[in-house]
Amino acid sequence: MRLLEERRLLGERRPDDREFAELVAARAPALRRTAHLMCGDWHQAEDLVQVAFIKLHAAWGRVRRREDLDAYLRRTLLRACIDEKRRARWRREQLAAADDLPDPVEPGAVPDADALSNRDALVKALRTLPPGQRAVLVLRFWEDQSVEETARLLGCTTGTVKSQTARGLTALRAVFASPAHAADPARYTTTEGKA
Amino acid sequence: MGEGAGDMRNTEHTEEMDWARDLFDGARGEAEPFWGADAAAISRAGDRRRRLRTAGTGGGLLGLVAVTTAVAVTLGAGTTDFGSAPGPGGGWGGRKLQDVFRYAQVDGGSGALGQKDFSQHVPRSAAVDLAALIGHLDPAGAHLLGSPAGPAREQPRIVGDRDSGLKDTMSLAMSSTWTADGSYPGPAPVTEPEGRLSYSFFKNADLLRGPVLSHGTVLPEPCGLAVDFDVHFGMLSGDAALPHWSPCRYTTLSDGSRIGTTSAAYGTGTETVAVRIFDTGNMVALSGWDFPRPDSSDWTVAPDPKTVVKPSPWSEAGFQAALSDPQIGPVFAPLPPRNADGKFLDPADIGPYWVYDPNQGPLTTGEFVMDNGCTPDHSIFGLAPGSALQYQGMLPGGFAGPESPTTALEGEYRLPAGTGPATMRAARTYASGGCDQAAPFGFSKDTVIELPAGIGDDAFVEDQPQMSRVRVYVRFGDTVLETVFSRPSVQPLDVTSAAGRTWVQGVARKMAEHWASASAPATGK
Repeated sequence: MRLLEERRLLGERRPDDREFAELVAARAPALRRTAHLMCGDWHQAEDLVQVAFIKLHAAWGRVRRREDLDAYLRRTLLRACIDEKRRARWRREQLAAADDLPDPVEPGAVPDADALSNRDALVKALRTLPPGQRAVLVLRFWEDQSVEETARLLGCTTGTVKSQTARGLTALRAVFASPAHAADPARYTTTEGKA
Repeated sequence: MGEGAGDMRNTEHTEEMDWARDLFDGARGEAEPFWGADAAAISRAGDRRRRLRTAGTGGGLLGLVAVTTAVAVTLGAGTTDFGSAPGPGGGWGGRKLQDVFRYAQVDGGSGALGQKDFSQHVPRSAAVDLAALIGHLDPAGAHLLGSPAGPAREQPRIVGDRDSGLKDTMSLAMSSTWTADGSYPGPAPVTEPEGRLSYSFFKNADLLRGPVLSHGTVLPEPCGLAVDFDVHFGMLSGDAALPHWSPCRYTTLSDGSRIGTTSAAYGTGTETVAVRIFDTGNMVALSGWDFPRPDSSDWTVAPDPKTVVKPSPWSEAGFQAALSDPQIGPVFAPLPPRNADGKFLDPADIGPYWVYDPNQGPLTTGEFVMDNGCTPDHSIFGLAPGSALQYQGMLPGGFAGPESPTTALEGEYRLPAGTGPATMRAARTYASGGCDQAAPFGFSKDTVIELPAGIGDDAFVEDQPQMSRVRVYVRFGDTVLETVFSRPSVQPLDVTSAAGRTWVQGVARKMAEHWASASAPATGK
């Protein structure tokens, strides 16, 4: 097999539909939760997850090892989240115009508003952080990634991850110690009431 | 918790870490809106994205006019065989074109419409280019061979460049085997030194740009172009060290085309690559190996010194001389032009070798974003649709950090009547409000670089080095033009140096010039 033919095959290799559907079903919910923490919006989170899967589908021939799939999805998702809102918007417009992506399902009625309070509070607090710090904290404490893996996913050094973790946590604690929190402590209470 | 958490647990941040863990754990398992991802729709979008990446943005063929009178044999059904036509002069000596297949074989190609029979549809221009190259690299015909297994029984067919069988073809590859005495090599394993030479023709060099990410590794490519994608990709899964390409040396020819040359060592062997890129984006590439070029599926060891040809039959200078032959020209019809009304930047305004992003069609704008990563953004939504274009290229080292692939996106934002000046003031305010002064993350030292008066009605630059981003704003009345430079990887992009400021000011001036020029008839200026 020769140069271009191989390139074509590698570049154009597409996943088996059934296998890919299983992957989407298995990974999409968790990725959506991560994206929601990053961007604070369920609709946008769904868009970003779809974009990550589309990119994975298109790059299937280059992301061959199974263990790389998660890393690729996380990396793609986080970069899209970190990237400015405008780019995500453009991307949506492009996809909507050119593709037959499904319309995101309208979020249903929230079953129990109180049950969402902890996550809402966390999302609100995370939104006060720079996107990079937010990504570090989400990877470290939501995705339970190690310092090394976080650094690999974000393309930075482990020292950066550690310093950003410390800065982010300091900022996060400041939010939870703010007057707004004092005025409505129940809304900001964590599982152990340490806020 | 990952091991990283353990690292931190032993530090003064232990309490903070526990608190954070509780905070995030408390948000798990909560109810959330229903959502079902449609894998089939995602797959369709993925297929489309793959097609776009492979084939560019497509469009009709513009046609390439043959300028050389040729002897042609009509084969019927609209196909003409140019095999008996004389080839170029010089080292080839005007021999008939069909003879090129004594020295080279057709390996394949790619096209937007799927696999084609390239053995039956070799465009005449490619055959001419090939003959000219062989005329330089083996003028006596003493070393190069077509099929290494022996003379091919069926000869490829040379057809017109606009033959229907070539419609939407994006690339074509041919290759030769080099042996010391021009004899056909024996079966594997190779015992006598032999080399390999690949000739590739691409519709648009931009299709080969951009880093290839795999296993967290950026695949080094010669001159930033995935000319030997298959072999280099194969290295990622093998044990061999990735190639270290020498800095790409570019030369511009009198016709405006550019030749880049580079090489990389593999043990005692060397791969030499040269590319000639025409104004149309067409590219002719040479890849020479002074040892048996490995299959991508079996790249596990460095070349055996015993099988490396000494001295190497290839050199960067030799390839450059061959590609400089004036008889070598573009093979494929160019992609349709972008920026037809000229209101946006030309890629060359940004830097050498910049191009319109081949995978991005025209974009639209509707939201003017003002944020700095530290405070809530102050975007303006619902603007009248504007247009935007994306570019890609390499920003040089020095003033903008290490040389690396970068994208740029110029968009027009059509603000409500009368709000242009105030919006620009607000954008300045938020642009200078960055926090996190010293950290590698966040928007770090957001810096506003003021630009001289006379660039539009108002202009400034927002430098976001640690976000790998630079934004250039130029206002004309109630329209703001913004060009955003972004690096895809986390590499600082800082233009606050004197050289950086000069460059970014030049970009702003060009933005203003293009816009003013394109708007002049409409505004009566």
